[in-house]
Amino acid sequence: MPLTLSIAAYFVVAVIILMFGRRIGRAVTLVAAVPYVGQIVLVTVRWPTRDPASTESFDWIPSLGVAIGLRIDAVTLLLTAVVAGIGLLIVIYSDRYFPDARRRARFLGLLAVFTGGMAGIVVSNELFGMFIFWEVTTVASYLLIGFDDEKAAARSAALQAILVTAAGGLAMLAGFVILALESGTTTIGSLVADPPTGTTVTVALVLVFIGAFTKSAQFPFHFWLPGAMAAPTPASAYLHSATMVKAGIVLLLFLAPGFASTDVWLWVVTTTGLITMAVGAVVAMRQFDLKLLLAYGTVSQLGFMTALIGLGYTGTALAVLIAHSLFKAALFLIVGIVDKSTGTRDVRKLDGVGARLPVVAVAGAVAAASMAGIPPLLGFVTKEAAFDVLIADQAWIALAAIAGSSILTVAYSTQWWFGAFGNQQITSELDARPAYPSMVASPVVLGVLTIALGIWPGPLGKAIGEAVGQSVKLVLWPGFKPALALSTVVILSGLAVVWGVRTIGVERLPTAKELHLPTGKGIYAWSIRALNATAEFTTGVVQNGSLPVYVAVIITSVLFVPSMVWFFNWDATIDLELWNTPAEVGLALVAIVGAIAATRVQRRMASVLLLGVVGYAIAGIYVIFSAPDLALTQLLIETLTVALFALVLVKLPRRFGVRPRSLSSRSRAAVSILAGVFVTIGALITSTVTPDRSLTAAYVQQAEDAGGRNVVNIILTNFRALDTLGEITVLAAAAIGITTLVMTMRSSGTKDQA
Amino acid sequence: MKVRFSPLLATGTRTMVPTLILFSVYLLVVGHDVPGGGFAGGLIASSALLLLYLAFGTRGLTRAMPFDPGEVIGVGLAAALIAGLIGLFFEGTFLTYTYSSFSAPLVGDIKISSLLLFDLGVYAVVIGLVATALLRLGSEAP
Repeated sequence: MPLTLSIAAYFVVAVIILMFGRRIGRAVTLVAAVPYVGQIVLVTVRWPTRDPASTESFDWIPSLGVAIGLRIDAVTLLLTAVVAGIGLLIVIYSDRYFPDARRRARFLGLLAVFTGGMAGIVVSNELFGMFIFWEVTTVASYLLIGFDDEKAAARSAALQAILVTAAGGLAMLAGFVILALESGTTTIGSLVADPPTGTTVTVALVLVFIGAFTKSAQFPFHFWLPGAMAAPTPASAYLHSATMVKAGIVLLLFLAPGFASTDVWLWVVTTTGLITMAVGAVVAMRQFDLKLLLAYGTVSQLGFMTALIGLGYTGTALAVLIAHSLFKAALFLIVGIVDKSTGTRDVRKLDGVGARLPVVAVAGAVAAASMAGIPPLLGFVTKEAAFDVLIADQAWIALAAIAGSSILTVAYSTQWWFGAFGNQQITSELDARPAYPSMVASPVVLGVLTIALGIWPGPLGKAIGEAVGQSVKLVLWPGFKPALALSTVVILSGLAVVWGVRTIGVERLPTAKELHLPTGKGIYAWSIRALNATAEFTTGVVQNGSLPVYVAVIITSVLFVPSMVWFFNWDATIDLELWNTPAEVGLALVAIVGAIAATRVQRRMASVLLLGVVGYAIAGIYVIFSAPDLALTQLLIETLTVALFALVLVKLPRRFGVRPRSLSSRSRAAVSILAGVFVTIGALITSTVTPDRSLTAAYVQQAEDAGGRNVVNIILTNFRALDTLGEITVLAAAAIGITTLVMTMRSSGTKDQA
Repeated sequence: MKVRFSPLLATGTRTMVPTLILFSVYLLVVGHDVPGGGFAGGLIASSALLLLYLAFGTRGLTRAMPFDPGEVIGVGLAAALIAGLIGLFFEGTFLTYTYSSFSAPLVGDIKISSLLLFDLGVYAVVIGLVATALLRLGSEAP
C-alpha cells in the first residue's frame, strides 16, 4: 500500500496546486516537493529489505481482467529513485525559474501529474495499468510543451508530440492486447516468465516497439523531441531527457527477459537503436541553439540504450540510462540558467559567460564530460562497460556504429560547452545577470553524483546487477584492456573532429535537410494536411448551413433503416381497435387539425402556436392512458418550447418563404408525408403486439427494490442513469452552443438577422 | 425606448413564482415515489423563470436570479457525476445509489439517497439551460 499511496500523492498534490496554487503563494514549491520527498524516503526505507515478490495490486475492471499492479523490487526502486530524485531537483530549480507565481503553480501542478504517471510506469507490473500511466505522461507532456500557450509554435509542437506519442501508444495498446490474449496473463512478470511465441506474438512485439520508439524518440519518430524543446527548460530537463523519453526504454527493459532472444527483437530493436544513435549525433553537430543540440544529443543517447537492449545487455542499458539521466538533466538545467541570465541560447551570441558564471561553467563541464565519456565520471564508466561487453561478445558491427557515434558525442559535447561558456570575441555587449543559488544547486548536486558514482561505481553496479539479474561490471579502472584503448581512441578522435569543425566553421556543415536524412516528419505533415482536407471536405458536404436540409437528412436516415426491416419482414396482421373512450377521438381531432393548420399558415408564430396545440392534445391522450409523468413533462415541454421559439422568431421574418428556399416545397412535403406514414405504420404494428405483462411487473418489482414507487422516474435515474447523464451533458452542450452562437453573432455584427 | 411591462402580468408573476419554485422542489423531492422528478421539477422552475422574463424582461430576470446560469449547469453536471462516483466508491459500480433512512421526530421516516443528488443535478442542468436560452436569445439589443 505505501507505494500506491506514494504515487497517488502526486495526483492529490497536483489537484491541490492547480486549484489553490495562487492562494498558497510562495509555499507552493514546498507543497509540490512533498510527494517527491515521500518517494525518496520510501525508496530509502524499502531498499534494504527489497523483496522481488512484493507487489501491490487492485482490480480496476475485473470483468475484463484489468488490474493496476505495482511491484517493489530492485529495478523498480532504482528507477523510482531516479524519477523522484531528479524530480525533486527540478522542483527546487523551478522555484526561481518561474518568477510569476501563477505560472509557477501551474507548472508545478502539471509536473506533479506527469511525475505521478512516470512513477506509475516504472513500478507497473500490469500491462494495462502501465498503459494508463503511459498515457498520463503523454497528456501531461502535451500540456507542458504547450505551456506557453499564447505562442503558436509551442501549441503546434505540443500537438505534434501528442499525436506522435499517442498514435504510438495506441499501437502499443493493440500489442498489449495481443500479448495478453496469447499468453493468458496481463501481468508483466508472468508474461516474461513464460513468453508466448508465434507470428501473432511477433506482430504484437512490433506494435509494442512502435509505442516504445515513439515515446523514446527513436528513428524515424524522433522529430517530435526537438520540437518539444518549446517546453519550459525545467520541463525539457525532466521529461525530455531524464524521464518520459526513458519510458520506452523502461518498457523494453521490462519485456527483455522474455523476448530479447527472439529474432524480431534482436534485429528491429538493435537496428533502430543504432540508426537513431548515429542520426541524432550527426544532426547535433550542426546546431546553434544549445537546447536543440542537447535534444539531438538525447535522441542519440536514447538510440544507444535501445541498441544495447536490442542486443540483450539490459544491465548495461540501465547503467547508461542512469548516467544519462544525471548528466542530461544537469545540462538542460544549465542551459536554462544561461538562458535566464543572458537572454539567449544561441552559441553565436553567447560570449564570455564562463567567467561570469564560474560555478555553472564547472557544473556544465562535469556534465558535458560525463556525456562525452571522460574519466573519472559515470558517463565514462558506463560507456566503458558497454564497450567491454560488445568486445567480449564480438559484436563488431554494433561496436563500430556505437564507437563512431561516440566520437561525434565527444565532439558535440565539447562544442556545447565552448558554445555556452567559451570566449569568442564577439563585439556585442552581453549582459549576464548572476544566477540564483537555488537554481545552481540542482545541476551541482547532479554533477557531484556523477563524479561520486564515477569514482565509486561498485554499489550501483551491484544494484543494477541484482535488478536485472545480469552481472554488470561497473569499474573506474578496468586495467589495460581493449575497451580502454577504444575509449582513448574515441575521445582523441572526437577532439580531432572538434578541431576540424572549428577550422571549417559549424555553419559550413551540411544541415539535416541537405544530408537528406530520412525522417518521419514529412509523413506526419502529410497526414495532418490530408486529415484537415478530408475534414473540410466532409464538413462542406454535411454542414451546408441549411436547417431544412439537416432535418430532412435526419428524418430520412431514421426512416430508412427501420422501414427496410419492415419491408423485408412483414408478418404483422393489423387488428385495429379504433378507440377506447370518446375523449380520445376529440383529442386526436384537435391534434390533426392543429397539425394540418400548422403547415398551412404563413406566419411563423402562428405555426409554432399550432404545433403547441398538437403537443397539448397528445399530453391529453397521455392523461387518458394514465401516464401522469409523461403528461406533466409533455405539457411543460410544449409550453417552454413555444416560449423559446418565440424568442428566436422575433429575430426572423414574420412570414415563411421570404428568402429563397434551400429545399423545394415538394421535397419538404415528401419527407413529411413519408415520416407520417412511417410513424403511423409503426403505431399500428406496436398496437398489435400483445404486451408482455410480466415485464411490467418486473419493472415495478425492481423499482421497489431500488427504493421507489414511481417506475418512470426510477428507470430514468437508476436503471438508465448513464443515459440520463449523457442527456444532461447534451443539455449543457446546447447551452454552450446557444451562448457561442449569440456571442459570435454579436461580435461579427450581423444585424440582418433581426 | 422604455419598455412598458403589463402590471397585471407583473402582479401575477410575483404571486406565482414562489409557488412554482416551491412546487418544483416538491416534485424534485418526491420524484421517485409519485409523479415528478428532477426533469419535471426543473421544467416547473424554468417556467417560473419564463414568467419572470415575460413580466420583467432580461434585466428583471437577471436580478431575480441570484446565480449565473453557466455555473448552475456546471454544478448540476458535477452533482450528477458525484452521485455516480459515490456509487463507484461505496457500491463498486458507477451510478449505483446508496440509501440510508432514519426517523426524525415530527417528520417521520426520512430517506436520504445519492439518487436525490443525481436528480438534483438533472434539475439544475434543466434550469441552467432554460435560463441561458432566455438570457442569451431574449436580450433586447444585439
